[in-house]
Amino acid sequence: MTAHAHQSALSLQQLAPNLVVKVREGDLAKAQLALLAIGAGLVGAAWLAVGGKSFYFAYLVGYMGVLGICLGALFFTMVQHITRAGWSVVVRRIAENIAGALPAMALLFIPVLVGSHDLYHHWMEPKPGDEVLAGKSAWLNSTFFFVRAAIYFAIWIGLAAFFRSQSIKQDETGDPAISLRLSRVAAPGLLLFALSTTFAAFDWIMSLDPHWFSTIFGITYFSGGVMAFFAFTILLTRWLGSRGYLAGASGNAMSTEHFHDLGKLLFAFMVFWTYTNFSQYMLIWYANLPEETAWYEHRAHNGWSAIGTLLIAGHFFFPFAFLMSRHVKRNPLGLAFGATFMLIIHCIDMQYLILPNMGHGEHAAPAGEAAHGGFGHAFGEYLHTIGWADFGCYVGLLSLLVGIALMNVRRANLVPVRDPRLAESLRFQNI
Amino acid sequence: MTNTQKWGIIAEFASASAIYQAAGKATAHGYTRVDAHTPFPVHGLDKALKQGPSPLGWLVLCGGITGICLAQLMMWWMNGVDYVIWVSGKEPYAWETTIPITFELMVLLAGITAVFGMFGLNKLPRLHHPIFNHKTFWRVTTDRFFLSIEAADPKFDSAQTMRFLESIGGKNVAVVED
Repeated sequence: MTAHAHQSALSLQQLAPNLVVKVREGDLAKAQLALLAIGAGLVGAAWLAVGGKSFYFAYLVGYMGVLGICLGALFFTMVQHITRAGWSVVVRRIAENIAGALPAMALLFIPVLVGSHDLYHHWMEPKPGDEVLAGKSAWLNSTFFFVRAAIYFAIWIGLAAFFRSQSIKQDETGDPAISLRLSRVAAPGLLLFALSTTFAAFDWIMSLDPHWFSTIFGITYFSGGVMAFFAFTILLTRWLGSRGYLAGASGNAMSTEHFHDLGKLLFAFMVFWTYTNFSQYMLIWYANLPEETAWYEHRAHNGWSAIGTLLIAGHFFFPFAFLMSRHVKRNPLGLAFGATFMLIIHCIDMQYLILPNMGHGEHAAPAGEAAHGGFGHAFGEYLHTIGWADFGCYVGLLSLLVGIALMNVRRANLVPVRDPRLAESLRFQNI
Repeated sequence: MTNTQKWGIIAEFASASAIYQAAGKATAHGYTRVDAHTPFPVHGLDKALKQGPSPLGWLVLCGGITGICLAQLMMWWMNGVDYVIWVSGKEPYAWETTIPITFELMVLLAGITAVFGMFGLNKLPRLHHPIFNHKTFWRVTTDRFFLSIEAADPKFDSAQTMRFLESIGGKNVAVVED
């Protein structure tokens, strides 16, 4: 061992005397198995009980909600490298492990592929004489759709595997050159990530209503996903902390300071979601062009107007007031409540983006129905339209994601133990 | 009566850890009007000095809320009441159009309150401060750390406070005059 390594090991010992480097052999295995079983069970039950088109739409809600978390994890990992961030080193391995679930997410994409003709039938089997779709057919055709999906997953899985494996390699070699290389790769990586995420959101959600278009749509999806990633990570690390890993005890890797920062980022991306969604809404409202306003018109019927209002209140006003104070973000229970709330709202956001496209054209509400009744009436209609599977698939896939993330957590060290900025991260304090 | 008044006593320390220890001892000893002056932020020093949270956040909140109200009042009055113009079929006062201005005015007034609130709470600007009369205090921006105890402190007593600061390791302990 070199003198330098010896010295840094000593200082780490002083900074984090209770640092647990790895999950004990066999520990958390039962929890992992239970989570995977619950996840598979819930999704399977939804498939058996609901089936068909309604299942595919419910599955897409859950899938896009959970995919956003994985993509948020990949984004977080790359942003920490490109900014050469010091504070986040103890959190980064968890993000790497969540992004490490992307290969499994590619497998879990199969039901979307199987159901693609139910989900995307508007453009997969366009009505003859539809000139708008004829004009878009160079992009919106089945073959290119499948090829694009393969490209997106190749980019995401490649980036996630590269960043995680290099980080784990540094655990063994302690080579600081790895940190420099990762910060260099993060720049083109983020560019690829931004493009692939935007186009994936176009393909998998926006094309449900293929006449409609919004160039900001990819960012609205991304902002909600990154927000959900922070909520998910806060809850996952809290739970790991209760089992003695990563957080919990003082002198372990994560302290109140790191949770405070995760809380700030949760707050920031919640506001960013509002910013992008309002930007989209205001431009469409102002221009008032029928081909653009149609999307909001579909969301004025069948109770979705209540969900629009609920999202403004629950995805912005309430969490804005609740998470504003540093005392809440530094309070374990306060932050956990905020994170849980945002994960639920994230599901309702996905429902709002996806489900109103299921019925329209076939059994859409008669025009003008949205005009009377108010919030209570509309919310009742929403509850009537919605099925348990529209939440069940999300919870099931969330449970699968925790299980897969745990699998990754158990395989590697809990923190990048020889990252050159680890000491800085352990010492981190908010002023 | 002389025309000079005691402002307080200042002691010099050589390191961040020394001033951290000293600040803790001074507040533990019962002094309340204690302050530390350092070349860079020292983590935990505000706790050692037993300083409460700054009220600046509340001022900024008030500034932000004032911005929201002013913007809404202005647009409601101008567009909806005083000089109504219908533009492209939109309501003269429509909440959608007011959001960007409301947001901007909230940020503007919150930002201005943050800057000038900070100046106000720090009693700035001022051209001189008695603490500059200490002969080595100029080193506070390079490599020395200073602890001050004000004469306004109820526990202040020139001779005793001076002995106390020397006993906790202060160098160049001196009374500064206003």
